[in-house]
Amino acid sequence: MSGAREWMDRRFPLTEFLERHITNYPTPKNLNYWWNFGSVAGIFFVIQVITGVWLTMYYKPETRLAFDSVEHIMRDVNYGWLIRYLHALGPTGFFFALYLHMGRGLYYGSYQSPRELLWWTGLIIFLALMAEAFMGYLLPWGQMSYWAATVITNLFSAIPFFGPDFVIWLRGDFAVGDATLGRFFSLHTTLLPLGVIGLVVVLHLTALHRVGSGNPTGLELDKKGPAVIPFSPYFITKDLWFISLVLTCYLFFVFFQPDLFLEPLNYEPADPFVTPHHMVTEWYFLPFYAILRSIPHKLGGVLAMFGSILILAFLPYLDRSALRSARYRPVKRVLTWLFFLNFAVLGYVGLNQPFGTILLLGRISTAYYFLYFLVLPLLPARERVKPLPKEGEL
Amino acid sequence: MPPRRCAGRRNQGLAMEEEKFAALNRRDFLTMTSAAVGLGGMGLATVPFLKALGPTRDIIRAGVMEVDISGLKEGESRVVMWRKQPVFIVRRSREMVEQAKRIALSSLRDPAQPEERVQRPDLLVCLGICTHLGCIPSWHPEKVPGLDQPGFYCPCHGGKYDSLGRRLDGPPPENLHLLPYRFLNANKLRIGTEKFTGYSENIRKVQELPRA
Repeated sequence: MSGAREWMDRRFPLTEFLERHITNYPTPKNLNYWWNFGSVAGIFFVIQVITGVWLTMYYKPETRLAFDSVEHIMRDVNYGWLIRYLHALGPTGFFFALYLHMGRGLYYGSYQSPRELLWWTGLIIFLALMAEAFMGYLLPWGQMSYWAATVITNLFSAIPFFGPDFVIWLRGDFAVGDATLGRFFSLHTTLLPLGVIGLVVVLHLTALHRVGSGNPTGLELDKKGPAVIPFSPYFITKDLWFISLVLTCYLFFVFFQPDLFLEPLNYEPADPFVTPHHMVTEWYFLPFYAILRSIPHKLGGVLAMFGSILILAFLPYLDRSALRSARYRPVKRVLTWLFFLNFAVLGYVGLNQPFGTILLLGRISTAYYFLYFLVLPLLPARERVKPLPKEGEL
Repeated sequence: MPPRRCAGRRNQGLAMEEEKFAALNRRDFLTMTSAAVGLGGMGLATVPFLKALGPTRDIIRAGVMEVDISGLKEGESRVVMWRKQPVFIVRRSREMVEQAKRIALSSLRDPAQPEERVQRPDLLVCLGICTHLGCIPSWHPEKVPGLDQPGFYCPCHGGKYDSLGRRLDGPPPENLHLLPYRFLNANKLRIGTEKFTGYSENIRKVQELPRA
């Protein structure tokens, strides 16, 4: 065994890589459970890739065959129902982990120098994943698939001058059709997952291992100091146990409540002549959907929606505080918890029809969403911060 | 508390050592058992994915079909598609039956009695796939090229079979494979069963095939 290892190491830095990035990767010993969701998201990515490879074997990206091929998978393929439910509920787990992972970054100021690239590569993964989820949603060719694709591609018609032509170019047809399905399938199964998400995940982890993990205090810990311990066995164990816990919940829904997260209307084949009465997006898009509908102007709504994600990229420059963690910043702490609550309210607004109280609530929440980012730069001058602990006391 | 005696203290030290030792063993045990359970679980998780690669239910269901043989004349053969594979149905003439009976079992590479190959002497039902490399042999009601027997001839590598699909000459190692069938009435056959795959089951004797 050690002979084979030696043979390998003379030709390829296997042991070096494993020690540097896994077994001996220096990890702050004070990480709390909010630091677990990155690895959970990674596991969901792996699940999506594996189940996706299997679904691609039987799925047919052609408008006359797509819907039936999904039913064929559900009824005829051995364990096809399992593989498809795993894949259909995967995004729920993935976005759940990702939102908590990003919320952790927001609360503990993980985006601050020197972790800007870590934050930005993370945002690229988030954006690519949204595109990935949206394109994958068209593939079953149900009513919701069709109309979601119609509405979302139509967003781009709000672009001045060339918007409408751009939409036709995006769809490859005057309405969502076979050309659209073909390109969505291609991008969903090749370029986006492997070329973008997979690649940027590698960049994300490479950047992480250059700067090291943050920690709840926001202190830059000495990598050889007493507050830092090796990844193995401490965090491997913690990650594995937590992943098992999350997978248990995920599998509960896969086996017992798969339809809880699936839209019943999507079990009707797409009909270009009938729009469903109540259009709802998947839960993980609801807050952004609410922002879109809160602005009574076509271009304005689209800009607000994309802006709400884009503004996250400016966080390293909006938050200039010398302290990272909201734990020692009483004002940021309250504002950030309110931001999370507000995000959930936006989700609730997105779930309901936009009039009356709901519309008003949506507008207030949208305003708070952006206000948060405008207040952040003003905080450092006024906020009375709490004393930081010493590294040796951790 | 009164100070303990030296011996007691030494015993306590020993006990601590033992405890440490026991704790390490417990850790090893826990690591090993959880690794075993985890690896076992991952192994089990591969089962649905491997099974998903097998034939789907609609393909299995399509493995049962009915064939009308009322138009089949004596000495004629018909090829029907069953599970995307050719099946030969031959109405054997009395002469063919007699000719096949005269072949000595000892001269066959894959010996089989005539009654082991057919349910009714006048009708042969078998897979039309040469057991050499999978080509489709052709039916020669008069004489197989190079022989004085009616039967099948495979153009790919010269495999020769009699009117019972028994290998007579050439490279094929076995007789043409049989498959389950049943007479629904004098003119109607049901071919195949949902379970029968044609690869892993007995394909040499009509009597041992699953009932269609």
